[in-house]
Amino acid sequence: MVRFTSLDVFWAAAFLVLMVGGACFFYRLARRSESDFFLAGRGLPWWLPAASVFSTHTATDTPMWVTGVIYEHGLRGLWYTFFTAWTAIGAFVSARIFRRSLAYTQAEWQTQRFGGLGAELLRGWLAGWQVFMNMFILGWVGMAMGKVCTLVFGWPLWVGLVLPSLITAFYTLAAGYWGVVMGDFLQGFVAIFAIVLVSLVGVSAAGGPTGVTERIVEMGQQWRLDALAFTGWLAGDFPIVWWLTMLVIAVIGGFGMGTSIDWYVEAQRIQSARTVRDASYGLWAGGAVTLIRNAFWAAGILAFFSLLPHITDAADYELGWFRLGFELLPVGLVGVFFGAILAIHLSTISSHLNLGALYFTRDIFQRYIDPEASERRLVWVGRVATFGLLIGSFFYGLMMKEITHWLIFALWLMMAGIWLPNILQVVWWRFNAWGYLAGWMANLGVSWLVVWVLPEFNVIPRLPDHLQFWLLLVLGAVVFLPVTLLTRAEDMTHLVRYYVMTRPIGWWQPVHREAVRRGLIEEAPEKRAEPRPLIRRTWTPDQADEWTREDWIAVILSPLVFAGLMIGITRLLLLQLDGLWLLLGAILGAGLIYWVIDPKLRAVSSEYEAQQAQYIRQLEQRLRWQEEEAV
Amino acid sequence: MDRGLVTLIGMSIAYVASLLGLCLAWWRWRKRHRNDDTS
Repeated sequence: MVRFTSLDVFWAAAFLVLMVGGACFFYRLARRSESDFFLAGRGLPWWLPAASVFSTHTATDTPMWVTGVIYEHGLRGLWYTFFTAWTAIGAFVSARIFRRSLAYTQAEWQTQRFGGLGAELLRGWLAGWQVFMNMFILGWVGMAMGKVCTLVFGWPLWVGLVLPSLITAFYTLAAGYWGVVMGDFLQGFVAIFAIVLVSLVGVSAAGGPTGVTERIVEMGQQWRLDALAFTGWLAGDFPIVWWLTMLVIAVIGGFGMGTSIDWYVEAQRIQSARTVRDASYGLWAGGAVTLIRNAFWAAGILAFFSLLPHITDAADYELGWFRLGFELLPVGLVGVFFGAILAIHLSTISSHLNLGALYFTRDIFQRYIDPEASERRLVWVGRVATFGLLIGSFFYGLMMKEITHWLIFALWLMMAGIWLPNILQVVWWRFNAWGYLAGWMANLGVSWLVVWVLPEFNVIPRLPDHLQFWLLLVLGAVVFLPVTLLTRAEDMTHLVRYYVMTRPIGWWQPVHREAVRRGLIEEAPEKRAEPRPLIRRTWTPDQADEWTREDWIAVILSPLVFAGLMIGITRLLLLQLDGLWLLLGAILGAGLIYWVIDPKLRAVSSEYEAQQAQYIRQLEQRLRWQEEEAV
Repeated sequence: MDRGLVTLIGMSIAYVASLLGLCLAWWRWRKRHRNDDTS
């Protein structure tokens, strides 16, 4: 148990009041419409979604598993946390396409991309999956908070599960997504302050940067200071093949939608941004700050390792960051630290409560139960769904002390098996709803075969996770590719409508030609404009709709910048000179990306937002007309 | 417990939720098309 002085209690309570009170302040905005309750009226400047992306990527259990991988693998462990890098490419590709679709959810997007019965089945499938997933994540994260409260106060597990979540539900019910995103903004600042502070205090307690590195070198474990200390191509606990697989999953995944479990949460943030440009910058900045956070954590945890290098039980060393904070911070700051832990927890719980309620309200209730529901009724259903998810998560959390491990592993496999279909649905016009649905269905059987049946009968050996990924990918393709090619392509009119609205990247030539033939878009205005400078900085909206070399420069540089920020900051905190060069390179790269892509994003946004405003106005007029008819 | 069995159980729970959503979508689709046919 941790001893709290009255000053600590004051600070913890003050942060709680600030975070909850700040969120509740937006109650009146949330009740205006479904769009306000779930997307803050699609009017947020980029820095609000960015803070929210960072906050939702920082859950109560995140410090535990980041501590676990760094303590076990040294700086190599940073690559485990690099899965966030899907936002590097996602910010300039999938975010742009999804924001233009105007879909509230990924399930809704399915009915825009695909048509007919297949699209409806997919929407129902994804909606059911997401309502379950959000309840599961709420239970899982709630249990992590239960464990922290047991460590700090000695409370029974269920108290830590129920009490903080109830506080969060209070403002999430009242203020909807407005409360979530404003709360995330405040909570993000509190969390990053505590993470930086505790890491620096930890490094200082271990004798400063030099003390940390010298201790580790004296132990003969200098490999812990090298993020690229491979153990061979296939052998050892850090093979090159594992690293390359992880890079492919994370970075190339940015071309798709749903390749990371975090996509579904961030899709809501993307859609709540006021322009395409704000959506891109929001996702990019949120991802970048998340990786910078990991860099600070890594330095603090290496310091913890240098002080206590012989902890063998993972459950013990995973609490290393919490121990640094509670054992090293002076009176008063312990309360601030606990306030930061609350901030991390509140932001995760509020996001998943609101997101689960969104899928239930928009994709189940409004789509399949009461399509004629008024805006007021939808907000009411959103609140009831939020409450239902909360209660469900309590039961789930209390039931699944063991099942958590099952599901985390199962979730990884599920994301692995549908990784390629999630990309193909964005980049390949011929991929259809039946192929995508077959990919999901096949994944259950294929995962079962690869993980359990075939190794059990010695047909294949038990494979490490990264090799399982490639095998799952190939076996899944054996099912979904034939299904796609043996069933009809989506209706061309449906595809043209989707293409004109979102202008997706990839292999869409037949749809593009048809859209040109129908006079809906111009034939490659980019190619007609002569002469073209190496980097174009003045764009017409038509030119900016095309995917050009400026986009590819951003796409290639962005993951490099993310890696440079993450590794560079950690190495710099340990006073290694290469860290400074990496960090400077990353900053220059970020500046270059901005210089190259910003004029284009502005052109895309200005034209598209005008069209969107007109579209939404028409939609609202139709809704009002329906309400008048009802009266 | 065996990791494979654990995976199967874990994935099955998630798939049941998805199947419920899919069945609801199918029910609505049939209802709508039946109404279209009769009108």
